[in-house]
Amino acid sequence: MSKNSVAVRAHPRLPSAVKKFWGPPPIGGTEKEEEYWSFAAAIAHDLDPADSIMMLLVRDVVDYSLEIRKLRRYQTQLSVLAKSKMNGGLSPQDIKQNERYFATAHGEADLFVDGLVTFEAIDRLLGLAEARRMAALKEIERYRKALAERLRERSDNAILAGEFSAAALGPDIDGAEPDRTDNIDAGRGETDGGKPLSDSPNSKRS
Amino acid sequence: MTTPRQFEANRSNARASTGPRSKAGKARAGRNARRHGLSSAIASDPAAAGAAEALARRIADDGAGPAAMALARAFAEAQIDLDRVRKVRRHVLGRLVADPDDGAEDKVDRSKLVRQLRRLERYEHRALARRRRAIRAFDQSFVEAVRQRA
Repeated sequence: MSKNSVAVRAHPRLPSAVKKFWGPPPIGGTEKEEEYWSFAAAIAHDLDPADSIMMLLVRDVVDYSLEIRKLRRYQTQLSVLAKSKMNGGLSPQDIKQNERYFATAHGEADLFVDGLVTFEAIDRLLGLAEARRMAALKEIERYRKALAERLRERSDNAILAGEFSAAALGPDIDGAEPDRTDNIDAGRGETDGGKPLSDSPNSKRS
Repeated sequence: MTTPRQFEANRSNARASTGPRSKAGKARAGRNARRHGLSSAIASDPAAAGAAEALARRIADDGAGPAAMALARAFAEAQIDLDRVRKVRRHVLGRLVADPDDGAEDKVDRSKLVRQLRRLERYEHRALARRRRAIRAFDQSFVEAVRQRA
């Protein structure tokens, strides 16, 4: 590799259908839209855009994860804010003296106590966001399990119906060809007693 | 004690001030007690109702029956509710962090914002529970449909 070349790592991208479905990213203040999408892509780049419910559940995980990261950043910023508040309007000499004080255990505790109410409020929000992220992940697990059960049910029915139609299509003992026109539906995969699968309330999802 | 003259004056004043008369004024006064609108039904907000209907159609099949569509609608309404709550919460959180921490008056405002955030938690919790129930009802309806056909 030459001295000036830069190693470019391929970043995962979120499918455009998912982006469109999620709508504008929930950002504010100094946050950037591209940052949100690259964060979301890192988590959900292999998301199937055909399943709306799954897409919404995954969006929850992305949003809560981003919120957790943001709140943690706020928490670390609190001591910086408290420092700048205490140093406000002081002479450079006093600021230097203050900085020496903040470097001590007592000074550090002082800074912490100053922002304690806000720290606690953010801590509470953090706890909630973490609990909700876990709940969203659990819901995805449960939803996938339900989806797997639905698929099993359908594939069982499809196999069963296939066996029946194969039996009906089998050669007669006397060697005559069977009449195949009666089983056309079974060949198309419409197996639930002749009723197409798309009649089920949520067949679009699997 | 109110004199008869005062009594009459009160009555005539009251008759003169019977609230807004124009349609726009009535609509504005109708929102006097509104705080964030999160308790209002989705149907009362045309934009939210439209978004919920579009989402419900996307979730359900195009040819879905009324029962499946009702389940999809319940899910979509809970989702739109959730989005509304989150939007308000983001706004409050943004204000909480953006406010400079330099004065007694600001501290009061900050604690007010923290209280607001706590109240919003309840709304989010409720919307999440409604959505969870809707997903389960959706899954259950599929199981029942398969059983009926079997």
